[in-house]
Amino acid sequence: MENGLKESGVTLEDWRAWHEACALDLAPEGVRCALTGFLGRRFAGAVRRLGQGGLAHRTPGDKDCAHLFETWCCLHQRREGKRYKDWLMTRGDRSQGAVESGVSLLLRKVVLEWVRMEFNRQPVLSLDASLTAETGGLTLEDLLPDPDEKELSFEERRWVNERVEGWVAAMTRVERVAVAARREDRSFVEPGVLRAAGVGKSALHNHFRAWIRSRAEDVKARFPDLPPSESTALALLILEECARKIFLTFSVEVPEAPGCRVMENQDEH
Amino acid sequence: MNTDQKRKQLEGWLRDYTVWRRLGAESGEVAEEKDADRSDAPDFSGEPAPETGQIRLWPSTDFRDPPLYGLLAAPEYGSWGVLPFSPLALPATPKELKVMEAPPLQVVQGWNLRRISAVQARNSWCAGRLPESESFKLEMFLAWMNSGEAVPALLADHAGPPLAHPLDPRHEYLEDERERTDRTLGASTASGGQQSAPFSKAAEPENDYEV
Repeated sequence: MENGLKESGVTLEDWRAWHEACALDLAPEGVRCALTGFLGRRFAGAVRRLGQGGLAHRTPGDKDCAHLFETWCCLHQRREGKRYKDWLMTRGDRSQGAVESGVSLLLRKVVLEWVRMEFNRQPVLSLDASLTAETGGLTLEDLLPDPDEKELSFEERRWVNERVEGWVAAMTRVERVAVAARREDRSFVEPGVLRAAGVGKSALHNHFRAWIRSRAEDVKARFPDLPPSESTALALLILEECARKIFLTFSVEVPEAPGCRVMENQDEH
Repeated sequence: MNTDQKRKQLEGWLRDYTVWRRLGAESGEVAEEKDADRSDAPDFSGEPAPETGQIRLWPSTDFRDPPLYGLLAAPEYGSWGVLPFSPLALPATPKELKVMEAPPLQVVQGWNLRRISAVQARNSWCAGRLPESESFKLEMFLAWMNSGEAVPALLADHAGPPLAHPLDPRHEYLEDERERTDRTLGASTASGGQQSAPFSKAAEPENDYEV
């Protein structure tokens, strides 16, 4: 099947013919039709995956999808286009499957650009509703607090200071590594961080989120009427103070403890 | 740029990121494939020699990754600086800079600056050049990155919003992008985004060396 039909009339020879031609428009008619249909189907499939009924309804026709693909991947006569095509045709084992997998990877960017364009035209799409899910319930105000907002009170700061020791004492090794790494702006994929934690990236993320959320609940229980931006500021102070305590405890008192190894080779992204 | 404008910028970035993640969900369309035979590797012999300001394209080594576009910064001690391009159209953090308007290459990841050998720089396709008009902005951006100062006013509209919250989804984006670049260029190329990479008009590294 390598050189034969794989998906509705498309063959590896069609992709090779497209590679030889400078653009789809310059390819033989049979090749153009087969590839245009293929690109249209993959484009529509990607839009369906977004789960936005309104967008699926507005998906362009096959010819327009193919045009967007060539335009936004710069696959016309320009130098960039030739290079993308070279990459596509030399992927993996150079089979038809490898080429078409590569096309799907490129279509991700093309569909993203198309969604941007459609959203700008009609910003009532339900994408905004899913933003909250993406941020785990945090609002833009939480993520970017106003720097001019009121500072934390003495009572709030004292409450944090009194509890830091207890929070740190109750932390697991993974939580300590995660908190220390985040405070240092270190990535959870750094080999040193993963080695110190002894778990994978996803587990480290999960432990970290759970720990932060648990502290946010402590804040809510103690100060139930705080506005969101102030709660966030307090949670950040807790993170800062706990990270400082971890650093002092595990790098001075117990230098061989796993939590302090995360402080080696400090760098930032 | 005031806080409202920064929030609007972040909102736009989060919207793009949400779409980007959903589009990357497992669809069965990107099939696992056999590795290429080494003797069958792409031929880069016809490519122009690397130069500062060139946009180069490195073939991905993992079947799940698209190819990696990067901008060549000036060479230092025989190695080239590479600023990978973000897959998104808007800068995520202050250490990302929008350098072009038209897709697919719009934003460079200053935080993800890499150092690669001359051989690795040559083993890529030359895909274009950064417009001359953007060189000054980029030079200023790279100089600022190591300064520890607030983002200069001239760059503020082209750089991303601050990253402060520990649960901000941008942390995950940074890690995913770092991993993607590690897979294509190698983890040892990471420079931590702290080294300077002056954007001068130098032509070639002082010394080529093999890895």
